[in-house]
Amino acid sequence: MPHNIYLPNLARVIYIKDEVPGERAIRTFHLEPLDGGWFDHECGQCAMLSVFGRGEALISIAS
Amino acid sequence: MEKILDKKRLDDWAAALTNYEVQAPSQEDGIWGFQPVNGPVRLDHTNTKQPPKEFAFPQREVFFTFEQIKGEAPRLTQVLPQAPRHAVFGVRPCDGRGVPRMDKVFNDHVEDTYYNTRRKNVAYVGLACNKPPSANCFCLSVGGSPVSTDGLDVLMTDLGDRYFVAAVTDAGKALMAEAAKVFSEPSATDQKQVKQAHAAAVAHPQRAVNNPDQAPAKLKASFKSPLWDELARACIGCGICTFLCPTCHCFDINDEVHGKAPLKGQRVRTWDNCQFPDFTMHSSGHNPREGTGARLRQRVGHKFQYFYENFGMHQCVGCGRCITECPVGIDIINVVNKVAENAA
Repeated sequence: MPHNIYLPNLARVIYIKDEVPGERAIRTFHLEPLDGGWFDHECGQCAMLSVFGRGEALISIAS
Repeated sequence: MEKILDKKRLDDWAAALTNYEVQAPSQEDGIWGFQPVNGPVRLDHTNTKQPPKEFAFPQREVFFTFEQIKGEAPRLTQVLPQAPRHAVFGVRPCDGRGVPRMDKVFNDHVEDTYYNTRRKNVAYVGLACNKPPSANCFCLSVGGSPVSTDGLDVLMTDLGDRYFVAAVTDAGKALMAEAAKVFSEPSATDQKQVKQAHAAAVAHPQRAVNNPDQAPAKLKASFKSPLWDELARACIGCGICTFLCPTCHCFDINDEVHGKAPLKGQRVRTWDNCQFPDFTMHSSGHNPREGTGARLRQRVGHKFQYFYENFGMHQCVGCGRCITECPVGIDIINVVNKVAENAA
């Protein structure tokens, strides 16, 4: 069975840092992989982050 | 493997395929569609309203289910397709040519587990178009043919009271082997007649995209042409053109939540549509394809430029559904020809 690209990598939020307060607050979320693995990426790629039951967002990756 | 099938034995062939769910064109309220065979198989159809792409790429499918108890890690359960083996009769050669194009899309760089699991369980039994089944057929001008075997496992040709049946792939040979007794060997006359039928089919007049080999360059040069807005002025963004296209494959992925405590749901893939304004809408509100002109350009460009640049072939197979079914008369042949004529 080939790797199923549609199965997500699971991660836990371990720390949230408030960068900028206010109505358009900016926070940095620190994630820890749950299944031991993480993902490789190439320049220009982004990641779709989803929280089950809440929604999803496209996140840029800074190399 | 080439055989003759008496038309009276077609149902016997279908009935012998007990290891398959046999699908064939069926007419309901004047509309042809593929349906499970539940009676005599009819192959007197024009072309089905929907192409047979749904057998490998359904409108909606579940990828996995999830369940999460607060404070614990979510549990995911992969849902792989349990689709039966399908034998799909009456596939027109244009739709057959859509199959390898879809195969490329779902296997380029990465393999799509869901598509491939379904795809390997589908056998396509084609029916040559002795005459164009639609006034908007244009397969010849996009590299196809009314007797093409591309993407098909079997090609049947109507010879009046019998079919000339040719296996194209091993899967096709297996389909014919399941009912070996219903076939007979073709005579020299049968061989001669099928060649005549194919020659006549190819010679039958069709509409045409002019200079299709030049289309990629012409479209590329016309990216900023005001013609796109003009040609798309009537578009109401209903998306019928892409939903009925045998090679359109865009999809969206969403989570459907069924319970909150514990959190339960499933991740689902559904067809999406580049003719919808929201298709490219960013969360910021910016839309890089804001108008119908930009969206028409995307659809036509994908068929005649971008896919060609990626895979060396036009994505359009010339079935003509998008022309026939468009409620406002947008005609992809006219669009490509006009844009190409006006290209710098």
